[in-house]
Amino acid sequence: MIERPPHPRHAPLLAIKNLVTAFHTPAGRIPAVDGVSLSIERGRTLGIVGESGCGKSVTAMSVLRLVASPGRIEAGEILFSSGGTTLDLATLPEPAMRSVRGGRIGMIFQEPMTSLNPVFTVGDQIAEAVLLHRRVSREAARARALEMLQLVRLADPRQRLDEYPHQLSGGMRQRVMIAMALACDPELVIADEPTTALDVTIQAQILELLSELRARLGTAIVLITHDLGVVAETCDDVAVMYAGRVVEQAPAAELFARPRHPYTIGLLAARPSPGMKHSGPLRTIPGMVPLPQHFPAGCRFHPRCAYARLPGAESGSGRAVPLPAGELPCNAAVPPLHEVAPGHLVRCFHAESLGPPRSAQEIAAGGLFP
Amino acid sequence: MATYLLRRLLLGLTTLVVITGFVYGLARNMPGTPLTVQLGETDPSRKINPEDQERLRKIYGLDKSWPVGYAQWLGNLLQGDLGRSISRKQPVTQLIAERIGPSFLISGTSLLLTWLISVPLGLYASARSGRFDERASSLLLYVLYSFPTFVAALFLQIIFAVWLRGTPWELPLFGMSDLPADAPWLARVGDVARHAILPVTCQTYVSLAYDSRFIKANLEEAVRQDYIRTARAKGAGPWRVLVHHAFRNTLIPLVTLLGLSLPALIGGSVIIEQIFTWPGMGRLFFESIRERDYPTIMGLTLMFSVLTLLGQLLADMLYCVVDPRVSLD
Amino acid sequence: MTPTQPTRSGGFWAEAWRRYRRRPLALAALVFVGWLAVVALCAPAIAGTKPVLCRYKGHLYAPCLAFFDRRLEPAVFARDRFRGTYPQNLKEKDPDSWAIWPLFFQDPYRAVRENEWPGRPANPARDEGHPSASHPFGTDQYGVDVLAKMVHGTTVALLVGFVSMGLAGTIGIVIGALGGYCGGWVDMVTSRFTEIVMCIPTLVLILALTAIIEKPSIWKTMAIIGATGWTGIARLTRGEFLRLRQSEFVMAARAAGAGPVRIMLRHILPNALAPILVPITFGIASAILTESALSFLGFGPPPPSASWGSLLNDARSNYSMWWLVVFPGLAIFLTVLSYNLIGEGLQEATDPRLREARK
Repeated sequence: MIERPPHPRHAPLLAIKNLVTAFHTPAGRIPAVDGVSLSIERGRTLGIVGESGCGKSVTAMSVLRLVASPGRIEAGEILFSSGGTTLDLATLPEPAMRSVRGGRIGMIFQEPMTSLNPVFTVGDQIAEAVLLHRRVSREAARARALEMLQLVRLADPRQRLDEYPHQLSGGMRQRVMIAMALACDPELVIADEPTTALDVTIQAQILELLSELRARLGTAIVLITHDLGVVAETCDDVAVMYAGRVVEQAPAAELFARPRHPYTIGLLAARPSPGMKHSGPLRTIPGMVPLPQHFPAGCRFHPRCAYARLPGAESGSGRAVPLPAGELPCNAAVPPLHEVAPGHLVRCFHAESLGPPRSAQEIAAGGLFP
Repeated sequence: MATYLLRRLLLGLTTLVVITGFVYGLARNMPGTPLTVQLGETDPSRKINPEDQERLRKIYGLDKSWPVGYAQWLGNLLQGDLGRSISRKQPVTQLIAERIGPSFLISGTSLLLTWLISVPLGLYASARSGRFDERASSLLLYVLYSFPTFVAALFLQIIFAVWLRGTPWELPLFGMSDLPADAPWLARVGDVARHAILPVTCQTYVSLAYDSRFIKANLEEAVRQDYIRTARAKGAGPWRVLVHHAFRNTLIPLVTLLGLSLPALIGGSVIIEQIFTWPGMGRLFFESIRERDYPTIMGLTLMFSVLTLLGQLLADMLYCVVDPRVSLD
Repeated sequence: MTPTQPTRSGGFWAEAWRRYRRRPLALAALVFVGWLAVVALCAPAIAGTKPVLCRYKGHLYAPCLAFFDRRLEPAVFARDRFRGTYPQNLKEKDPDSWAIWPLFFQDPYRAVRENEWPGRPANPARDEGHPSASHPFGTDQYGVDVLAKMVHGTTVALLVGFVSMGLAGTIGIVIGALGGYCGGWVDMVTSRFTEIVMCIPTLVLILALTAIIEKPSIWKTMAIIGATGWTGIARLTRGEFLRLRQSEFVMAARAAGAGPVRIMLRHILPNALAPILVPITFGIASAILTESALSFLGFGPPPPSASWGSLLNDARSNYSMWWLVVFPGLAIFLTVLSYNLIGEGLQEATDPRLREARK
């Protein structure tokens, strides 16, 4: 598997290599993250996009080793380079991991309504983040909490310090979460769908806040979302995930201009756009995301793919699609993630020469799903 | 706050009147009167002539119908008089005062032990949830919780008072103390303590099992919440997460439990006091019902109901203290 | 199965049963209670002094049913002056008769006399009544066999649990549902009523009611326990109905024109049932305990009735007869334990939030 060569001058801030995180449930082993590789540069924003269940949240939780049992990191490395040293977070001893959590890497979660402890004040909770990692007095921690509330533009910060979470609105709580995540000046912040639970206007404010903070503090951000619009607005680089794997990664502009993976193409094509004709249905990707117990062999997207190349007998429709000599059928092996343009990686055998797409009926007639 | 308390007070008083009225009616409608019970127990050859009987009936107010009798009792109560016990010929307040101490001794010790043991036990069980030692202790606690107190009391009595008789492990079978009242104070304390071991054990083990399972269940529920994930993401260690974050939230339901255990604290368990012949309030209750001793029944009912209502009020107020999301109406 | 097909679900109770099945202890408890039910139903066939089935003077009779109800004793046996003793009399009065006897020839209400069963001595009494080959659980101070008493006591125990909880459950659900659904002054009245009953010391209530009832019997005891044990169920039901009243399916039903009774019974109750069943199950255990405690204190049904608690009561005056404590005590304990396990298993199977993740 070809990886992106590291920048000659410094290693990426966070380099995830072949991460495998699986859940051992009574129903079997479910590999939610199945060989994911990503890299995040200092001071840049990486957006991770994908449908529900593609493994993007589990990837984020794996970085901080917060995956709940029965999930475990089974393989791979998570290399965090900061302060001159490189740590492998996947195998770091737990006490050291605790000092990374909150101290060097901050995290923001999706549900601001329930992510704050209802019995402690906002000020106490932010101060706790400080006190866990810095040996300072309680007053100093409280002062820092006030500073952070001012940083995130919370109205009346002095008053908010002594208020309880239930007295704040959703947007305000999310600002508190951001303040908490940034309290110890981390180099990386992971935001797991920070705006999904908020309404659109608040969403815009929070995203603007995140961009501003990134510009001011130089923090790298990993933004996990299912909303392509958010990604287009705020991210420098984008990674698209499907069924536990990264299928495409590129700088944002490049991805939106020249998507190469059939899944990304399908996602982008599904968006309603201003110039569209009003007649005719919206284009969708046929079928559904497969359950982990029933992942297809080879490329996991191929049953739904408009460009899949399969030997004639297996395409079901009776039409033999000729495979040029030497080309691999899509169900034969897992395609590796390889570079098709500078900084642009795709996990597809045929990315350079996709050919004409099949119609939705033809895909359905492939018989690989109802 | 003041209006809330006032409202609760008024509501409580109404409830008290209804309860005491109902119990009075119930008691008076039970077949037999204190006199018939007494007569039944004394020598049948010594008969009381009808005039004396009628006189006694008048003295004890038994000739009036029960609503009138209740009104009379209520009137006396408002003047601070709980009446005299018919069968024991003592003022009811004195009777209760005598018996409160022993009941409180058992219940108080039991409550203290329960809380001292069940909180750490619950925390421990939650921290090591799913592992072998936790599952084993959980099973043991479950078994304890299901074991009926009177069966356990009988078992313990047979073991410690009958089988181990004569050995240094023997424990007394009945009563609170065998020593006379003028024995040295230290010896008496030790004697009472020895007598209290079995009753306290019986009273404690059930609530111990229940409380620690309660704490563990609530802790596990708290630990599943999103804010725990946030705390971990901040870098908090497992003990801090459990004790500072989760347990503090568990206090909310726990506090309700504490408030509701107030009546039992003073009241004493009828069954345990019967089995061990412990001179407490529970036993008094039981005996006074059997003897149809209306004043004592009423005095005890009043006390018990007041404690129950106070306990509920206490639980509600503590709830507000412990949960910032809740305020008094 | 193709990769992208959704799976079918079996419905709420099928799912719950599936989850319940995964807990070995809860299953074991269910099996135990099932076995107890079998014992209770077949009690006269397991231990008794009357034939299960016999042919006498050309007709078939089942005298053992008299153990369930005295009136079921076939009249012919009274006419022919059997006086309750069957083995000799059957043979003497009708040489062609045959009988199928219970597994264990002992009576739960009296000591078996000498030679009542040909060749067997009378039941030992007092301290000689310790467990032996012919009396596996021993005999009590009057010589009545303990095993027989316990077998018949099983019927009492299970009946007490189901009947009293059936009553308590019905009262509690009705009161709670009315309060929770109707709200307003109806709720105020029902809540105050529930609170008042909760405040009255239960023991007083039970003892007083027991004393008032003229002729105490096991059925009246069950009714009393049921009439005093509904408050917790009422509170829970009220909470559930309050919560579910706001749901959208109730609004939809109301929009479709359903009346309040129909909504409560057909729409809300099935959804609220799962959490309510839990205290009802625990209540069965509690009812059995209460009945035993009452018998133990001497307030239960009068002597000829065979209940586990009355055995324990006998034990109090005879401390040397440890078998009077151990066997009934164990029986009560195991039954209560089983019901508690079932209740807990039910709770875990039906509460979607409590799904445990096991390796």
